[in-house]
Amino acid sequence: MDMDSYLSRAIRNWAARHHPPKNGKARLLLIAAASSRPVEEPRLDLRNVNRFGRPLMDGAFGPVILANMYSFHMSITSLRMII
Amino acid sequence: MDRKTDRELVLQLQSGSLEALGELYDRYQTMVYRTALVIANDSSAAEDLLQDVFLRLHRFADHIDSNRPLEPWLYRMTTNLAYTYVKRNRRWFGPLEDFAEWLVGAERHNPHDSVEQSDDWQQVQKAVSTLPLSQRVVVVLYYLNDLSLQEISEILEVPVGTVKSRLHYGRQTLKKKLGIHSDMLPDLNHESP
Repeated sequence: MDMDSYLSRAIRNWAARHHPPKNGKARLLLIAAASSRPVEEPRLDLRNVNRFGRPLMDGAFGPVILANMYSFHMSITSLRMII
Repeated sequence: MDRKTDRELVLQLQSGSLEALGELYDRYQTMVYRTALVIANDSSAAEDLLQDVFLRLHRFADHIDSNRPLEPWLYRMTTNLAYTYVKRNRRWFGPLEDFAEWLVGAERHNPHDSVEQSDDWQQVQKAVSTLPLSQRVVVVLYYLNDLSLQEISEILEVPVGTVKSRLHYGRQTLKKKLGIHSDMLPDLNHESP
């Protein structure tokens, strides 16, 4: 046997003792599916600078209100009904 | 059922088919995994690299020319990612490995005994993992994947002469480390399954 055949067979024997993980495909497809999910429609960014040069939702409570827009809307509506 | 060609699968992948990605994975997972394994010499790293290669195939599918064979692209991606892994890993653990190597150095067996042992592949594994990375990649592509010098040159984007020289020095190093003389090469009794 020559050097090339020896190395070739020995390296292949080493590699052949190892197999790809069994759950590899499922995991791959899961990650790929998550990464290819369509991006949501961009919402109107209320923090954009308005014509007065200040963001509409500036200040400490701006991000809190934006994150809880529904609750905020409901509480304002209830308040108006009471008044 | 007709087996789809790589080109058809790449086109499907480009239009977002995960089924095509799964089929390409089934087709090439062993090749990618074993190539990464022999370069990185680490089975858990090879698993991560396998996943990474196919995620990149999915992410960059639009950039792949479906009229060209897919295998070279996979080899290139595998070797590049394995290269990065080994270099990063070597930076942190290399000095520690060198120290361990130095510690066991005195215990090292006579190289002439190595080829007479039954586990030749283990001796070769150790020897291959000590090769400089550029030589190791060429040795792996040549001996494991059975690629020609021309194909390796295209995959690594280096001249054929460079591939030839890396293979020559890699082979010389392996020969020295394994203590191989042409008249004492044994018949290997481990056949690939």
